[in-house]
Amino acid sequence: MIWGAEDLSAALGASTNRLEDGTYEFTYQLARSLCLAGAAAAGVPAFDGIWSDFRDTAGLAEDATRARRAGFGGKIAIHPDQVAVINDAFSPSAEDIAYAKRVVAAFEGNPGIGTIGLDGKMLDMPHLKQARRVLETAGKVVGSGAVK
Amino acid sequence: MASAAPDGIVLPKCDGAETLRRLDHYLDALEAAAGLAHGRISIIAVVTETAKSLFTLDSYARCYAAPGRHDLGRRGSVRRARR
Repeated sequence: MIWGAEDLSAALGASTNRLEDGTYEFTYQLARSLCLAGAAAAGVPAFDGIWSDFRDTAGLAEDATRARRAGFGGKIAIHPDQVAVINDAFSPSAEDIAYAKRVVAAFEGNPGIGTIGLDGKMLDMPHLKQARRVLETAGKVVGSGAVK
Repeated sequence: MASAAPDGIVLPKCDGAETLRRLDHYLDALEAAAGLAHGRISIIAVVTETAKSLFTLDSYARCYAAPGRHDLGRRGSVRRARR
């Protein structure tokens, strides 16, 4: 599932979907969050909307990283040059993967225990789920040849 | 379109599961006519482009047989809607 702001603003009779500082007006942030939650409820990935300035690679990388943190599984591109930047942002880093493996190993080494300490932090089931998701994504992205 | 065996298609202005299901039915027929495997063509729905669409975002949860039907590794696409 993808969310989009352009046609929505036309449908609502809005002259713009942005605030003065360039961020999305509340209605469009709401649409984005509803798309994210609706996709999670359906068990399918949500993809974030476009980054329209295709020359602004740094801005795109930052926006895509923010989207991944929020739970999006990908982001749509409007220019071929954006594809590599987006794939990078949505691919777990080597550090992410190493940490996720340590989290999974820590729980597997302590079967039946719901909360464990790692690096001075307490971890519980949501952390284990997140770690497994990182490893699953890493396996699939690397396996598809999308990234090196 | 189906004879070109696309990996998937984008459905713009999707305003709920009913719209997605209608496309799913069309694709059932088109895939059969083109000799493609059932469910071969994925759908990516753009789900927030109409006023009504904002009130239907929970409807897709009833549209899929099971979580995990999609395969992010394959195409990063939303797999076909199922009754």
